[in-house]
Amino acid sequence: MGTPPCLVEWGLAIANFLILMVASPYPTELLSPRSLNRRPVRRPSGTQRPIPKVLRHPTATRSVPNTPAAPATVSKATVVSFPQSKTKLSLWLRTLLVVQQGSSLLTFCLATAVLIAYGSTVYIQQEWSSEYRKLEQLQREKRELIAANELMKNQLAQQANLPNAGLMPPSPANTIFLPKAESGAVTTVAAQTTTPLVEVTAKTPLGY
Amino acid sequence: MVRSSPSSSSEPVPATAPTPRVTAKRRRRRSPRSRSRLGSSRIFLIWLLLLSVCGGLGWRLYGLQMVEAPQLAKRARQQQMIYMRPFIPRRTIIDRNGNILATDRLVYTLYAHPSLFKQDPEAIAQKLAPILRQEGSKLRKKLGEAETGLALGHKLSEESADRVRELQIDGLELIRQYGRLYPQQELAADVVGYVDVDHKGQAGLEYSQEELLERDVRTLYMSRAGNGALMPDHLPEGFLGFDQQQLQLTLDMRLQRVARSLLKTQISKYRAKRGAIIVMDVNDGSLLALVCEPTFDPNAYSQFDIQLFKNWAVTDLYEPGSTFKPINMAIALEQEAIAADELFFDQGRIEIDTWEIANHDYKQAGGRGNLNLGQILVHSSNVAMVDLVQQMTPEAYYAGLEQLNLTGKLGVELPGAGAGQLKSAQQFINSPVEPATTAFGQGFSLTPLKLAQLHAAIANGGRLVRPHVLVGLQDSQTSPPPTPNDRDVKRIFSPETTQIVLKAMAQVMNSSGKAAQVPGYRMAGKSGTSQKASPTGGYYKDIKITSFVATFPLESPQYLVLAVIDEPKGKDIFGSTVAAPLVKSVAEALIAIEGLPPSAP
Repeated sequence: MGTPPCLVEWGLAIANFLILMVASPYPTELLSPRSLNRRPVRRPSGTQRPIPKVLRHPTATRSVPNTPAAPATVSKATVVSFPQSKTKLSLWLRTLLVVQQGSSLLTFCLATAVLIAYGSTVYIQQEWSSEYRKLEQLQREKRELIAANELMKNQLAQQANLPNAGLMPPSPANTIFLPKAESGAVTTVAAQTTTPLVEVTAKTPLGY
Repeated sequence: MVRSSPSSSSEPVPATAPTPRVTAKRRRRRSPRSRSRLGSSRIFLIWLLLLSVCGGLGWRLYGLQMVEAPQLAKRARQQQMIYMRPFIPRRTIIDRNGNILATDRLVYTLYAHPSLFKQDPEAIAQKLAPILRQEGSKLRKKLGEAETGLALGHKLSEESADRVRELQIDGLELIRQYGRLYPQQELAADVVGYVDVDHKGQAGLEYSQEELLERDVRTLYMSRAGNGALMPDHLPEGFLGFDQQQLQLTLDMRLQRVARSLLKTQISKYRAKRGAIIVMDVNDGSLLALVCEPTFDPNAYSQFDIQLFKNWAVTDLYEPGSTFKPINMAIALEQEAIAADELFFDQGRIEIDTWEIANHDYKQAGGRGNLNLGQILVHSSNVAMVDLVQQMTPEAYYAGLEQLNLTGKLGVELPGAGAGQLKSAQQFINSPVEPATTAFGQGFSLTPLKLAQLHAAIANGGRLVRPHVLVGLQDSQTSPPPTPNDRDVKRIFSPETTQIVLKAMAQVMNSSGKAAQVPGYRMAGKSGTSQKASPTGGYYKDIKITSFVATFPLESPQYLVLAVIDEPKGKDIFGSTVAAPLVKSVAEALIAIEGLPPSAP
């Protein structure tokens, strides 16, 4: 294989890899601060029902004993209790995030472009192949038409040459020679026909 | 670990609950050891398996990439790449009106390899018989002759090849070749020539103009996809862009056809050995018709005698006889040895150096006395011509003959053009009989085409134009370039000289040349009847070569017609009886084709 398909294949492989990277949530999770704080929730092996999360919170257990009648207070308390926010992210981390997003977008675009380019090379080759076949067919038809035409001409001429064909060989006796028309007569006739035309057009009233 | 909760107390606890907890504990206690033993061995096994698989893959990869790589690459190339020869035909040859004289086509040769047959040979023979137009039984017999490489059919058309392909029989092979088609058959065969099986020109223009006719047949190395489709990734730029040029000739097929059929009739009428007709435009030397008979069909050249492949009007020499008399007059006039109104004495018979020279009609007419130039030509008086050339010194006469470039090349594009033969200067000057015989066109030889060229010079005012059949390469869009013919045209006679000679030749048309006279047109002409020289020396008594040359219209000569009939048999064999009627018929056709108006009365 030549160089261009090889390049295309390499490009495709790289693009696939990059797409996998973008699609997988793993690297994003790694960078996200929430994942750093998360701890596995242990459950007793015997109990069927999970323990509600609210119980774990110290403020919640203190102020409101386990009553399902005050959900508003719980939600308010929850807002207070999760202090983690994006403000904690350092500048370089944010920059990296932006770079990552930008590069993944770029990768996506490039991968699309590569796919289009690769697809078009395959398509163009197929197209060329079919057009070439068409050309060959046309060339063949041309050849056949030319040959048939000339063979027919020859056959007609041979038939005309037969003694009982009723055709005469060309000779001055069966040719009509017309004397050349004098060029002066032609110009005068032209002049006569043009003058009345000019007069007529001049008489036609304008403005209607 | 386990928390007691209000909710858990309300739920029923299964009785067997502690037991699984204990077993779980026990298992948990025991598991680290056993799992690590079992797991590590399992992991090791898996690791070993994966490693060995990786190793195997690596080994295979090494084998494929390093050891077998060259062979594999070669095999892949064989499968993916093919040599393709696009259709780049040899150039078409056309006449002056664009009628095709030779064109290329594709033909196929069918080979059979019976060892590869998967069907009964009998069935194959029956299927192929109608396509190949052969008998099934014969074909079946042929298929038994060898195991492989049997040529079943040659020059199969593309349709036949398609039909063979459609049969999809294993063991048949179609080889594509170029074939040349000459649709006009023998009409211009002696000019165009033919190509052999290898598509190489072997005669005529096909041979001499090989360079102009042949295009580069480039072989392309192309990749092929799995489905057999060609892929254009190795194509050189403009590989299909071959030019559409055709080789155009000056010949007119209508005239050529008329001339050939007339010549055929005349040859069979006089049982002649061969004949030729040349029609030339005297002003530029282009040949409108060049016909030799007998000839061959280039589509089936192998069935003809090799002698027919040459154009004898261009290659073979003959002694022109009386048709050369006007040329001698022009030489004498040009050297101012004679005057236009001078009279020459014809005593009927003279003796020079023990050689007797007489007029052809001496026995009937005897001596004719004083004759002027016109009368010499009308009576075709040999003796008066001897008197005429004796007005020049032999040296001057020889110099005049050399001026005609008799022994030089004619410059026509056809192969094997013959150069004339003239005696050496010493022999010519020292032997008085040499100038005397040369005076009436014997003792030297030239080709019919050379004679036509000399007469064209008399007709066109003295210019020795180059006879030619090629116009050049012509495109459908562009007109052919003008032939650089006039650039180095040698002038051999002055216009005054040629006018005097033409006037003398015009008198012939009213007497001995009447058979060639087209009514309504003023013409100039001269007949010629010469004895043929025998290879052993001397001349045959009864074997003659007759010719007639005419130029017209006399007011401003445009065309020349020369007819030569070699070895006609019968009574009354003269140029004026055998060749002159041919010239008339050809001239009539030419006048009608060219639309030449009649001379003013």
